[in-house]
Amino acid sequence: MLQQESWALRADRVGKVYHVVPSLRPLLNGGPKGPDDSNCVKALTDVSLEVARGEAIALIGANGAGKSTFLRILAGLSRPTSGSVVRRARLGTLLELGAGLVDEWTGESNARSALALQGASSARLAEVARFAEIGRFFAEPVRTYSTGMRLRLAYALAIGLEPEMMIADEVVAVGDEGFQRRCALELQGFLGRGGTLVLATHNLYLAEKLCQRAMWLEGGVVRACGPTQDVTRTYRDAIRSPRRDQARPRPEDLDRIDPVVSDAVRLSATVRGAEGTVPNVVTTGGPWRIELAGAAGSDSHADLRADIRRADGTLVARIDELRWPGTELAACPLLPGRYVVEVGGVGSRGDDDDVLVRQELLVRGARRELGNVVLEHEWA
Amino acid sequence: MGLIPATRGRVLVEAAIAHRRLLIELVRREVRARFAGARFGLVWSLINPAVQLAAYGLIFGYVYADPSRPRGTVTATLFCGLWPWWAFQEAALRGTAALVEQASLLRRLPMPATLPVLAASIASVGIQMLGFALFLLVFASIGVIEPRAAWLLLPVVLALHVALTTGLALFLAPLYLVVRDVMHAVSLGLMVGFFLSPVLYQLSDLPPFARGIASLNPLAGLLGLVRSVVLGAELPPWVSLVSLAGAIVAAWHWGERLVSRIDGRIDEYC
Repeated sequence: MLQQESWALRADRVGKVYHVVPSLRPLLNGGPKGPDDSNCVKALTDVSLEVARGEAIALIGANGAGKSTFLRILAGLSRPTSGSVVRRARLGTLLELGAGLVDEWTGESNARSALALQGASSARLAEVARFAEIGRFFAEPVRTYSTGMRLRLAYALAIGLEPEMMIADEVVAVGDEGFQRRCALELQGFLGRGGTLVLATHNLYLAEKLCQRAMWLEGGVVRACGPTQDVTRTYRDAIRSPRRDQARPRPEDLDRIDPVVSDAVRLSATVRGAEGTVPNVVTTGGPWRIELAGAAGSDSHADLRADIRRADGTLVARIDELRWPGTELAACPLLPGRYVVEVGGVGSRGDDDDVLVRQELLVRGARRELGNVVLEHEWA
Repeated sequence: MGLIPATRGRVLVEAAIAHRRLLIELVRREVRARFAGARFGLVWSLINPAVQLAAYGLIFGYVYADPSRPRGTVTATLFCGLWPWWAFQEAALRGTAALVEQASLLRRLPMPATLPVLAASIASVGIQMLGFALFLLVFASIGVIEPRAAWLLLPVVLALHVALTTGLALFLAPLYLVVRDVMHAVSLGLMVGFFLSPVLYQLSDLPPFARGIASLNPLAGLLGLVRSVVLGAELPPWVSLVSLAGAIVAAWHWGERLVSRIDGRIDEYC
C-alpha cells in the first residue's frame, strides 16, 4: 500500500449491480435488492485500484467490460453497490463529451452555463474560446456546429478547470484525427505538469505511450493489473487467440508449457532457451533451439519445417529445414508474447503437408517495441 | 472530495444553500431552455394564462353569470384561483420529470439529485407568479382589484406555494425515474385535482356537507390564503391551513427520503 499522502485515489472492492427491470420496492422500502436477484446484472465485482499522485493508469477491455461504469464510480458520478472510493485530488472528467450542450444557445452561452455549473469563473470564457478553436462560431447557436466543433467545445470546457486528477473515457477515440491528436497531446501535457490520470481506452498504443500501469477488465472483473506493456500484451494475446473460450492459464502456470506429443506421428517438438530454463519459454535476444523427439527415426522426417505464428495465426517466420534431433537458432528476435510453433513436413513439390505437431511458445523479455520481432539497428 | 452525501432531513435545505450558486444556474438554465428558440420567449408565459383567464371569465362572467356577483369580482376570484393553480400544475409536472430530463447532466456533473428537481419547480412557480404579479398590477390599475397593504404578505404565500410544490416534486421525481407510469398518474391526478380544489369556485360556494371534506385539501388552504391576501376574502378554515402545513412537511419528509435513495444512482435508471 502506498504511503498515506502519496495516493490520489483509492477504490476498495468496488462492486456495481444494475437491475434489469427497475422496481419501486427498494426505492420505497429503502433497501436495495440483493445481487443474487435474477433481475440483476453485475457490472463490477470486487475491483480495487490505488492511484498514486502523478501516475497514469489505463483501463482496457472489450466493450461492456465495465470500464465506463468503473470510471463513473471513480469520478463520483455513480454510487457503488458495494465497496468504497476515496479521492484526495481535485477532479476533472472527460466523460460523455458533448452531452449537456443546449442546441439553441450559442457556444458562448453554453460555455458560460457550463463554467457556472462547474463552479468556475466566467473569466475563463476567453480561454475556452481559444482552446475550442471554433472562431466566429463561438457566438452562433450550437445547432449550427459540426460534430467536430461540438467535441472541441465540450473538450475545451472539460479541460479548462485545471484539475489535479483527470478521469477520461474513450475521449481520444472520437472526432477527427486532428482532434484525437490534440487530445493526446493535451493529456501528455497534463501528465507532464504532474497531473494524475485514469484513462479508459481501446487504443493500446496510447495506453502504452501515456500510462505506467494498466488494468484489464473483463466481465466486470480484474483480469490483470500491472505495468502497461505486460497487461497490454496479455490482453492482445487473449483477444488474438482462437481459443478464447477455453480456460486461460493462470499467471502461476505461465512458467511452464508442457511439450505436445502428436500421437499420430509420435513426434514432439520442444523449444529450449538458455541452459536450465523451462521448456517452451525463451527470452527475446536469448539463445533458442527447436528439438525434435519421437519414436520415428530421423530419416522419415528429413524434410521438416517450422512455422512460428502469433496467437491469432499470423505467420511471423518460417524455418524451412529442421534437423533431427535439434536446430540451433540465432538470438531469438521475437518480442515478448505467446506464439505457436507448427512443425510440419514439406511435400516433394515444395507444398506444405499437414501440420504434424503444434507447440505453444512463450517469449519473455523487457523489450517494449511494437510489432512481432526486434530489428537491431545502428544509426549511420 | 468524495461523492456528494445523500440528502436527508434538514440536510436537504443545507445542501441547497451550500450549492446555491449551482441551484441558481440550474434555475437560469431551466428558464432559458423553456423559451430557447422562441422569438417572443417569456411573453408566452403571460399570453397563455391571460387567454385562458379571459376564456374562463367569459364563461363564468357571462355565460354562467351569477347576477348576485359583479363580473369584476368573478374575474378577480378566478384570477386568484387559476394563476396559482397553473403554477402548481406546471411545477408539479416539470419537477416530476426533472431527474429524467436532466439525467445527462447528472451523469456528467456531481451534484445532489435534489437540485434539478428544485430548479424545475422554482423556475415554474417563478415564471407563473411573475405573470401573476404583472397582471395583479394591471388589474389594480384598471380598478378590477383594489390594492391592499396585505399584498406585502404575498412573498410569504409564495414561499408556502414553493414549499408545497417542490416537496411534491421531490416525492414524485424519484418515483417517475423508476416507473414511467407515474407521469400518467400525475397528469390524471392534476386533472381531477383541478376540479376538486377551489380553483374555479370558493369553499363557501360548496354545499355544507361537501365543505368539510373539501377543507382537508391542502390547496384549499393555499388558494384561500391567496384570495385572502389579494382580495381581502375570509381566511381559509384552520383545517385547510393545518392540512397545507402537514402536506408540506410530509412531502418534504418523504421526498427527502426517496431522493436520497436514488442519489448517485441515476445511471441505474437512465
